[in-house]
Amino acid sequence: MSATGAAAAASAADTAPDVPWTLRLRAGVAEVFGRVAVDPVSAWPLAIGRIILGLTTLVWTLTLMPDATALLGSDAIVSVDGASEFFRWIPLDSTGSVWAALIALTVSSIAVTVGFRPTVFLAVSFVLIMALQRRNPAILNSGDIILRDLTLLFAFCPTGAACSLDRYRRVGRDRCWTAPRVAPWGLRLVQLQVSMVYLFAFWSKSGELWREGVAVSTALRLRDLQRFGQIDAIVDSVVLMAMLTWGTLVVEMLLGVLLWVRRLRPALVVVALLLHLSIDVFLLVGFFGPVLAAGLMSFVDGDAVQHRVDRRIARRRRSARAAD
Amino acid sequence: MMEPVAERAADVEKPDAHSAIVSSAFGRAVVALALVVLGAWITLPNLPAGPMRSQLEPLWRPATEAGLVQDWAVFSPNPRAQSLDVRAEIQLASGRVVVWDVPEFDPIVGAFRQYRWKKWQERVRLDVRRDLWAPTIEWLRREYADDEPVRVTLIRRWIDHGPLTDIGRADDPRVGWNEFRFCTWPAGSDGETPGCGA
Repeated sequence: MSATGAAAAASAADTAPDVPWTLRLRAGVAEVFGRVAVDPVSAWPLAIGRIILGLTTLVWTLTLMPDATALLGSDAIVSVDGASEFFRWIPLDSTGSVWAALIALTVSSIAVTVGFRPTVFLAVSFVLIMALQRRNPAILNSGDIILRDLTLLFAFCPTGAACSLDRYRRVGRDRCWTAPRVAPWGLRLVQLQVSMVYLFAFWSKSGELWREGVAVSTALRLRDLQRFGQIDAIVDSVVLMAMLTWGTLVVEMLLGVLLWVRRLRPALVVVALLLHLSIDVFLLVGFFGPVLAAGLMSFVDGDAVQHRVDRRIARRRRSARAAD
Repeated sequence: MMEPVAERAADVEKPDAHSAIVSSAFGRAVVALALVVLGAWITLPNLPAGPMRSQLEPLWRPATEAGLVQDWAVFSPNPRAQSLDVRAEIQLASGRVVVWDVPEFDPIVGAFRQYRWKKWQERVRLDVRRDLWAPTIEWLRREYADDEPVRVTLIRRWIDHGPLTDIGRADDPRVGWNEFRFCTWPAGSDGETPGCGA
């Protein structure tokens, strides 16, 4: 039964008073499943997310290369015995194998970025990221964890359906800037992951420093996390620090819950990007912001993106005609 | 003129594999099962620590082993109240003493390398991570092999930060780093400092 069929069945079941409740329940579940997992949506959000994730993975890999020997090699600062107990089947216990993995991940992340068989290369990227992260878990932060989580979850999505080399080869240049509609079941997993990050980031901030509105001041004074040093006027300002501390809690809570409300998404995505930008400016948090930016794109309105792209192409064509 | 979006909804392209899978009842059943399992693996590990979480933990162990890890307690429950640093004091055969600190990179691009060294530093300083001490000593001895190190001491350094006060002054700028020599190689070469297990 198609999603539309399921919806029709559900509607019929609602209106027929003598239909058993089990059938009505079944029809209701089918309708919800259809809406959540089957009814097609624009492929633009997945394409934008894929490009950001691919670029982030590329930078992640390139920035690991200069420290590959010191942090991951066979004579690294953490011994081969210090590798994680998980994912043993791809051990990377020699410097050569680490370099091979880094080079393979570079190629793989480029393939993801340009959209050449992205599902395959997202799966390959996930395995390589896991293997590299497993070798030295002592250097990982939450940004590294969400990088591998979202790489895996994006592999369940048709990320190459729009704005990709695959689409260019399939439909040619003229239709390359249109996005087909795709089943959203993989997209839901990415969305769930992103909202869980914010919800539980909020949930876990139960300490008194957060309650009292001074946590951001403490975080900004941690010298080992400072990116550009400390600005005393900022960290000593009671009002500003309280606003930023409680503002962080409010934003994380809203993102965790209200990203599911379609009307609020555009504003919330912008607020989330600003939150990550402000964190990245002040603190050394690695790739947490860029990876979540990729995940946040799953909440972007694909039809609105298509309208913008259409307008831009139309404008370009008009100017080309005018120039002729 | 460009085709409007509504018309493109009726796009008659061959569906991608991800969309094709939900065109059959069997495919929808597989996807429904995958959504339930993956959804549980994404949400349940975030349950607060306690008996309930311990009971349920086997449910998401396969996800953890596959690399799908959930831990979003960032700066939680409070940000830590100490700036951290780890450095090494290396005495060379010549009698000269050099201090090694984690490398410092530029704050624009280098920041994306820097955080890894800072994370390592956060962990190597802990007594519960003494498994990291011996490899660190061995790595430092290799780094300085040409100068023949005869003693290497790891030092944890920290600054305590009080919470922001009513009058707004967060820290006394005159307060410097505290230091504690937490292990030395060879064991026993530095008086009371314990060995590093190297």
